[in-house]
Amino acid sequence: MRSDEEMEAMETGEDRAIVAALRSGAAPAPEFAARLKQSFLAEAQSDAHRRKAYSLSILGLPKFYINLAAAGAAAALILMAITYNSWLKPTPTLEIAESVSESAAGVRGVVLGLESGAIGFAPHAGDRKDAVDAVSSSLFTPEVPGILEQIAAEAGGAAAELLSKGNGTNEDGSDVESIVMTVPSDVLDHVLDRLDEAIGLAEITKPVHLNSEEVAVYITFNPD
Amino acid sequence: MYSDMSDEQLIQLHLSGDPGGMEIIYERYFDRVYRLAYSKLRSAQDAEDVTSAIFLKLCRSLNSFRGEAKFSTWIYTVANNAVMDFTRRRRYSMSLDADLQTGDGDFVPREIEDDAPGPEDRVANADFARYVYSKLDALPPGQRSVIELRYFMELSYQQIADQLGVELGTVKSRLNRAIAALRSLVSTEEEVKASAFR
Repeated sequence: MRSDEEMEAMETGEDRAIVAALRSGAAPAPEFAARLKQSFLAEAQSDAHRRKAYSLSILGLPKFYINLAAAGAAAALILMAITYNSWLKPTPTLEIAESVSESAAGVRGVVLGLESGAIGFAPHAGDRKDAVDAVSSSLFTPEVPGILEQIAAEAGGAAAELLSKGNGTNEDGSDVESIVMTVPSDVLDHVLDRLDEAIGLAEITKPVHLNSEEVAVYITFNPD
Repeated sequence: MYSDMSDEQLIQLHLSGDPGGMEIIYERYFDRVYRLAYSKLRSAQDAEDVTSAIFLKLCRSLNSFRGEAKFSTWIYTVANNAVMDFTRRRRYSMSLDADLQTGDGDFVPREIEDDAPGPEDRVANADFARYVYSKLDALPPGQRSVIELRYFMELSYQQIADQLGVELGTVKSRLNRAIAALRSLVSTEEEVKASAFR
């Protein structure tokens, strides 16, 4: 099989002069060739470094791993979008508030105890109400509960006896020590006035500010 | 090591950050690109400008080389586009010069090289070659392309056929007709000078 050159020689025949002129006629100046070569190689060096740097991430990790991480992140986002309804649905605000409130109340109950007696808290109400301590100047008589229940009812609240052994007795030998009334906070002062009139209050201890809607009034009776 | 590799292998090496093979690419293609540019512009200065532009932008242009075609045909396309762009810009610049000429300014027209051999050319062979080059514009585009691909870009017949999308026999016949046409265009006087090549 003939080479291109042999075929060309056969085909062009006597026109080898023209072919030679075409092939070698326009010779570039050697100094231009050398100068351009130098510039070209410098450009090639710079371009290759740029390409190499581009193939590496700024963390020095191969681009492959960066792409892998990006693909993983994308897959995670897709998964989250698909499962949004089942585990990413926002909990209603009210439920959160109640949950937090109950949780906090439970913690206080453990820390303080239901009968901690700490000023400002109502142990029997899970420490969720402001508390007022009042000491009566009179003795506990059988009529007292009825009077206190009536005062509480007038104020829109309720009254209940708190039993505790070993803290003194009354005339009939019972163990009643104190009574707690739960009344709305905005009528507290009126209730305290009514209690003072009915049973006489020697001492009142209450928080400077009332933060709960209802307040628990602990009334202790003088055992003497 | 690099000299045994194909153009495409050298380009792939460069794209992966190893520029060592680009010197081989330059050695293989510098003359070809220059000859192609010169054949179209017929000015050594213009051919140098275009060749410089092509090689200095070559590395960054490699992003468009997808490896589907041979590098030789790709760079032929790049060089052709560069020459066309150069010609277009020069034409625009000359038209602006012509506009300026309508004023009273002392305009000096841009010197354009004559097709005929100049007195500075001392070598008869070079004179004849320039004369042959000047006749290329008279060829039909199909024949001229075959001449460029064969004698300037040094592609094989098969590569030319692939590049132009024609049969191998078509390439041969076009080349034959192109050479014959050039021969008829060259004057008897110049053929006397051509005898120096034989």
